Amino acid sequence: MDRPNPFVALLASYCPSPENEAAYDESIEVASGRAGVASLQLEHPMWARLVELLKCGEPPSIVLTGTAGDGKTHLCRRLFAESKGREWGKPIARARLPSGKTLVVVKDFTELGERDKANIVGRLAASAYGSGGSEVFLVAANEGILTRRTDWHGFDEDYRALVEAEAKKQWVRELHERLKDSLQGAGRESGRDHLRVFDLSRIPAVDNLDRVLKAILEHEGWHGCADCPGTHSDSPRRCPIYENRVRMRQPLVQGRLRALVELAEYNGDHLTMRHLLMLVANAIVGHRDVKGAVKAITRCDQMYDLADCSQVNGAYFQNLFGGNLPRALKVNPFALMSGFGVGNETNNRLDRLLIYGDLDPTLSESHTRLMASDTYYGETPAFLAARESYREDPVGRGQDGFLDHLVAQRRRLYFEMPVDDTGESGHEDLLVFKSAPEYRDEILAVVRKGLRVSEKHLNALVIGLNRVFVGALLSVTDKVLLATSGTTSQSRRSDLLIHPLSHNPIERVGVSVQTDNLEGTNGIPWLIVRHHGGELARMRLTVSRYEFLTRVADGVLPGSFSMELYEDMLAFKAQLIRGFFHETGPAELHNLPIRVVQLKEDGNAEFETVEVWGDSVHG
Amino acid sequence: MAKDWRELRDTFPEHRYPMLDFWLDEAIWGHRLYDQSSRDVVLLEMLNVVDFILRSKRTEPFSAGRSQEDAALLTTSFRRSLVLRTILFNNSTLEAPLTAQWDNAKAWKHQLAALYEAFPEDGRKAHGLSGPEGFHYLQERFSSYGAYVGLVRILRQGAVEYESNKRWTSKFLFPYGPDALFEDLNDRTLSPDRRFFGRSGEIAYLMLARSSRARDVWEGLRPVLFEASPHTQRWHRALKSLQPERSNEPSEDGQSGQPIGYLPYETHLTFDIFGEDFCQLLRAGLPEYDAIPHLGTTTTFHLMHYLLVVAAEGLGSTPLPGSKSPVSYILEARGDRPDTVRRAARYSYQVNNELPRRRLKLALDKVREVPDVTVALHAGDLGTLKQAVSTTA
Repeated sequence: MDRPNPFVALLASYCPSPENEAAYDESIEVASGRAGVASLQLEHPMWARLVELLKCGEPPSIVLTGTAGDGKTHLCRRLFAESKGREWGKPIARARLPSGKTLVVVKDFTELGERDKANIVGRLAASAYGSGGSEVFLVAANEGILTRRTDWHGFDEDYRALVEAEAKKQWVRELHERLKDSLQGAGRESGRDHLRVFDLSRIPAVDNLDRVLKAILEHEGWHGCADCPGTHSDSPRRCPIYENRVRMRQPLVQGRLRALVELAEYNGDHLTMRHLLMLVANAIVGHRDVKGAVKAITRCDQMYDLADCSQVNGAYFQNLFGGNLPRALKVNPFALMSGFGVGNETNNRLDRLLIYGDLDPTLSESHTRLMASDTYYGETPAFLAARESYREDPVGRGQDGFLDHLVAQRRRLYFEMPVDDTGESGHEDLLVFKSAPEYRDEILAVVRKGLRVSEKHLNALVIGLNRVFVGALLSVTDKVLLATSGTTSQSRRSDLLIHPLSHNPIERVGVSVQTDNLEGTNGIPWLIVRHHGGELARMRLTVSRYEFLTRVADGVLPGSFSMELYEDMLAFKAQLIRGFFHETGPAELHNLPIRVVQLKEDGNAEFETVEVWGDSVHG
Repeated sequence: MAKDWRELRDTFPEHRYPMLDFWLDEAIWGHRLYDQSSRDVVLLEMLNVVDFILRSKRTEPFSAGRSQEDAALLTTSFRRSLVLRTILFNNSTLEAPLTAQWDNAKAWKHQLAALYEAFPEDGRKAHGLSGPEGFHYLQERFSSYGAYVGLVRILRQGAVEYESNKRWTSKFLFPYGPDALFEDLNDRTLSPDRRFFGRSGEIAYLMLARSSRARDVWEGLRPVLFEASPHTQRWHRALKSLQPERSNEPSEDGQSGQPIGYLPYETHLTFDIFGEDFCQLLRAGLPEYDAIPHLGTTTTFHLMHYLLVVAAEGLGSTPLPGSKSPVSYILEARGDRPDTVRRAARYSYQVNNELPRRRLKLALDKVREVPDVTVALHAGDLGTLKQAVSTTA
């Protein structure tokens, strides 16, 4: 390596550090300038649409909302530059649009003082609903804040006066309604005429991931590595950065990463553009053993200091889960990624392969293909030494180092294990969400087409719910049992029956899974329980809840998988009970006897009425 | 007109506490908050007060006791429910006939005799019990001995601390409804005992009655326990099964009882917050009895909060910025390493823990400044000292 590739410094600036926590976009701009490299050519999915709107003859005012990191500031800056604006940085900036109107850019509504907020709200409302004006607004705000500050009822006197100086009350109210629509799930673009609202958090993260991967992995900055000996696969000083890049360009690896991001969506966890940039950049240049606050290689020659360290400490498959980061920086997206359990989940076959693959003749073919052939990140000298140490003394000191290697190898296999090698050890076994493929293909896909989920899966959900609701190993599929302990609905064992709800998809009672407004919810379906009277309650069927219920249906104890999900289910039970009382007439409710749920050997439930004097049954 | 303890020190409360040497803690906080009660039992005691007021038909619950004058006249007597409690908690041989697989007749004979034996001797006459046949109604009501045992088991399931080795007269039923409420009794004398009902529940009752949300508290609580709703009816029928038709309990008439504990303030910031929280829980729409444990928790929290706020006010602490309360709690969600938050949480605990002691010390310091006190101390003149304490603290 003759001289360091400045592109590496640019990538490092995208990695998590104490500095870029707060103002990501700004600090990246600065770093890019310093590095002397073109910044990432990443076109935001909404870019083209926004340019189209602002360049037309009658441009609308635009509000950008979304979570921090979805690209609001970035878009404002680029649209400002596109409109030949000068001196970016002011809270309220002006530029000129082709139509002749003035573009007023507020890059962060939240950072304005109260007076400015009121003033902008007024002028924004006027630009959208007033008659003709020369101002067009581009306002970026976090979800909810702008909605609150346009709520006429919530205005104090001073604020109201300032707003009224610019706009009529009905304009502001109209603006408020449109913002509320967006908040309640109108989709990524809503509004019409002179006001458009964009909710950037509604763009599926997988779409953004593809753009980010392309922008980073195919950047022209990689040309800077052309003459470096580190890029040769037989070089003693092979470069981990380059190696990471090579591997991450594989469609197989990208597909596996995409599956993880998708899984996050199925849980209602939104990975923002910032998260994805951080994730991929850190994957490439992250390294655990770099000294300093930023655990990433910023200059290629740092590699010499790292030469003696274990190679996997800079591997992309470790970095993607924040393996290189200190605890304090292990926030999202890394906390989220860690939640998938990749590295810790496994099965016997896989572990046998990892620990004894070289010794077991039945595994030798897999072993050669998956382990021995990869001398850089697979069977490295460090790995071999640790494995030897472990085999000699599994319980003693040999354990620690090797167990870490096992985690790393499982992660590598998750990304790199080819599809036709599934057999018994599919890569999906390496995820904590073992039901993810089923969820994706047989629940989500089905429901999004407007079709019914199969009876087999619904039954599993019913069994799971019943086991949690009653606290016994029931196998009841034709009823949903609402039960309490007599004193509370929230206890682990609830054997006093309130009511057995019928579950019969044909009659449209019991449990069903469906989705409503696709765009608004990022597509996560609802699990709904209906009774003859109507809908009792509903809850979001995220992939983690699906996993929980199917595991419980399989025989796992509820508390052992996740206490939080277990409590979710109990809370849902309380909602169902409340819904049941609401839907049922008083006469029927007053005659409910005390009934005990008895578990029979075959898993069925029997209801025994407890004899009580004065019940209508017993006179 | 709100009265505080300084104006009241010459009035009734002291005279109702003749056993006290010094009217010090009580002058500041009122009846001493009992250290040992569990949250379930504190709530039970409070519910017993509510039940009594309902039975007495004098005023509405959470209205009685609002003023100091009214509280001075408020005496409470709770249910005793000896028959029910004997069956549930003083009946160790209940299961024996089933285990031994006796037939019904033999089983009942054994149980009725056991119940009569177990029933407190002193109470037998008052309950019109002359022998085991006094419990014969049970045999008539249940189709089999097993059915009867089934019901008793269910009721024991919900009991408060059933497994503990407390005496049987200090075991309590879950508050399914008014007829599940009864008081703590001494197991030898059968007189009301203060081992577990330490009057903290009575103080909690007064706090709510004196809060700005008193009416809402009653409106919210009534449907949960005190109205004929489906869940209360279900358990009412169950409890009725076990009790004789006529109840001979003297305390049912609502006469001669014990005076309610003393709370010095007619209004206080902490009462209002307590009322707010209590109402919020009742408004959450939890089904059946789900709110009960939370009501217990919030009650015990607010008793503690009252204790600390009154102490802090007496020490001259001012409300923290942005809040009305001079007491704050820094809580740490347990991390695995000691850090700033943990240190702050420890400090916060220490500060709060010392508030009552510091308040008392301040009071005693003031007492020492009273002219005759030093002399009285040396001379052992209890009368003067008593006077000095109660007029100064």
